[in-house]
Amino acid sequence: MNQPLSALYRRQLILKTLILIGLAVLAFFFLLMDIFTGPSDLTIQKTVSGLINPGSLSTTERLILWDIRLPDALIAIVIGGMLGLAGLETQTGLNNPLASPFTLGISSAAVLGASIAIILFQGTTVAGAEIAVPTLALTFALCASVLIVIFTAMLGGEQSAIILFGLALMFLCGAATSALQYLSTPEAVQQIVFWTIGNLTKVSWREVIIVTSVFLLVLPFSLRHVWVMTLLRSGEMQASSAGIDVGRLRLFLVLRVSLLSAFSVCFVGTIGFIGLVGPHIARLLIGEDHRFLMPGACLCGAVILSFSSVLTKAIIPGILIPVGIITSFIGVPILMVLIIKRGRQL
Amino acid sequence: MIRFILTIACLLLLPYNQLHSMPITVEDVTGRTVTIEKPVERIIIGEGRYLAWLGIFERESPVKRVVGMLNDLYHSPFRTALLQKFPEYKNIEIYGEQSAESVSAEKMISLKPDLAIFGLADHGPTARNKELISLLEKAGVKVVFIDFRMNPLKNTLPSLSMLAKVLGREKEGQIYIDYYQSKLDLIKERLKTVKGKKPTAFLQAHPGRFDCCLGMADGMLGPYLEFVGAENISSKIAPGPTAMHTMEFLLSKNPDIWIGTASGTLKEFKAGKSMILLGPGVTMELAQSSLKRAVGSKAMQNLNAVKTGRAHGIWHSLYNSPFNIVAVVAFAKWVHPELFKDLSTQEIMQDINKQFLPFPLEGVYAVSLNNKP
Repeated sequence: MNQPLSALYRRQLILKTLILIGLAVLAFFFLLMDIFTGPSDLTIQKTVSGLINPGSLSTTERLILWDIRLPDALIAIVIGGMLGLAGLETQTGLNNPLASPFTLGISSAAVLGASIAIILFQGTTVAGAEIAVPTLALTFALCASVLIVIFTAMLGGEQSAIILFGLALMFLCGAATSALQYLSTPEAVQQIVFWTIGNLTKVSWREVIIVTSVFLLVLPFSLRHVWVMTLLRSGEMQASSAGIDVGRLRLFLVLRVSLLSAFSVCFVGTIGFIGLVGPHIARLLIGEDHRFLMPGACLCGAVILSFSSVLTKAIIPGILIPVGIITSFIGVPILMVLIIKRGRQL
Repeated sequence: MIRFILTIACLLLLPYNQLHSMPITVEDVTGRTVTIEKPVERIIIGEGRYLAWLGIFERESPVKRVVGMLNDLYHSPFRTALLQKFPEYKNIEIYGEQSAESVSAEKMISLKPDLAIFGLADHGPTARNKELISLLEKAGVKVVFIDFRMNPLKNTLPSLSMLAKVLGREKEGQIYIDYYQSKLDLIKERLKTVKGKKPTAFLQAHPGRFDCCLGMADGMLGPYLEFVGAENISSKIAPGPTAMHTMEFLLSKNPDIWIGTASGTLKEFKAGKSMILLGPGVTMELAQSSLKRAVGSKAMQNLNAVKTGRAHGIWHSLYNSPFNIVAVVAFAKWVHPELFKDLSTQEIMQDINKQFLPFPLEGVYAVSLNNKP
């Protein structure tokens, strides 16, 4: 019991590193599972040899592996990671365990953008009909982000004001979407519903590259702030007295979260719950040290979404269950088990 | 005395077939018994789309007796044609937007209809809206349900014959019923000679407009595939009437026949959507080029159905219309091209246009890669 503090700290560091490695292995395992799962009779052996040497596969098999399974599996990992990171940043930055990227109203703005594209701009040639929906979803999400950033700057980063503004934006976008749906055809409403429950299978390599680039662009900026974020967890006053400009910190944080959320919803639709639950699971496993918690939240998000992606295809082979439904069904039990086991407050 | 003479004069002006059999009692597709005591003069309909087939009974004008409907602004080519021929169409009152939730019961009752025609599962009021139905009945409105959507193979003909009776147009209705029955019987008879393994087929709803690949299983146009002797690869695994599949499912099952339903507008097609374009006003050339685009992706080009020219398009709106016989004939031809080579969907549409519609719905309603619609 009388171990020196430094030895205890070292043990903690090793334990946390091991947990991170464990999560990374789990994410990689689910990525492989995702690549191996599908309704066709592509064996694991064939899949592996096809990954190493695509020429060993028939044209159809190559299409299935390289154009269908791989982009879907990769985007699940990337978007899971993005939502986990965005969730953690929101929760820490706004000091609110109930906050998630969706609390800021960005996803609601994306839904409104997508609805407008589906209902009003079906025939638009401005962006090309095929990409009208993601383009408008992204535009609206980014506009909402700009509004939030301006508002955050105006109020000097006051946390409850940001949350309230985000909620107000969420309800406003929700009302506008409902009004549009009320006046549109049942077929368009059906399209919007499909969009709001998320679908990872509609992406190609182009989307994988765009989304990954945004993630890789934002991640270093987030990682740069891990120490400050850890300090922020001990209280805003504490952080301020240590010389941190909390308002400015929040401004850049909101900007990062906005980018992550906007790009994670615009191509695959809204995938709820990961941004809320991923960071909590990571926190329960790792603790508050953001040096570990931040990669941990990314990995937890990636694990949940990748596992969900496997289940969307595996529950009824040949049929796709919307991923947004699965994420909640998986995330909630994991969170419950962890809370009960740890017996601690979030 | 004047009133008596006027009454007699009015009665004489009514068509004979509306007079002689009153009151009449019919049973609708929900099993409800409805008694019509006096000739129907004011009708409210579930969807504006009903006007497209009301002409089967109302040769003179399908809009004449209709006093209320849901807002149908979105079916513009049909609306334009209707308005041109029957300017009084614009007098039909709108009692709701695009769903049962949006209807105003007060507005419906204020239109003083004698008869309300609703679908079993339409975009408008349905049999599930019990409160609304009982309210209408209390207000003296007779309500009948029809079905061309949930179980069209079973319910289309009974719905038509019930409508013929309540509208007092049995003669007109019977002509179409006989026409429909003759095509159906012909297909059934010939299919008896078919033996061997059934060809596999996939029926995809809204390709290019909805995410790939929404399959029609036991719902909408799906049952026609089994009726004409194909194996619907979606219905084997789908838990509901339609199901979302993946492109991998399609590639691995590699069906012999692929059929996409055509919905959406010319504007959307021109904007570059990979959708199939069919319906009123669409030319064969346009339909062909849309189908080629719809199956143009690398994955679709890999399907046997596309390689062999057995990829087809069918007008989506036929899923809820008594003209669904066009889809049955099209499917029969596509599944057994040799057996039904003498049938033509274009000819059937011409028959319908000439014989059963007060104005022609000229256009292309079925299209094939191999040029034999």
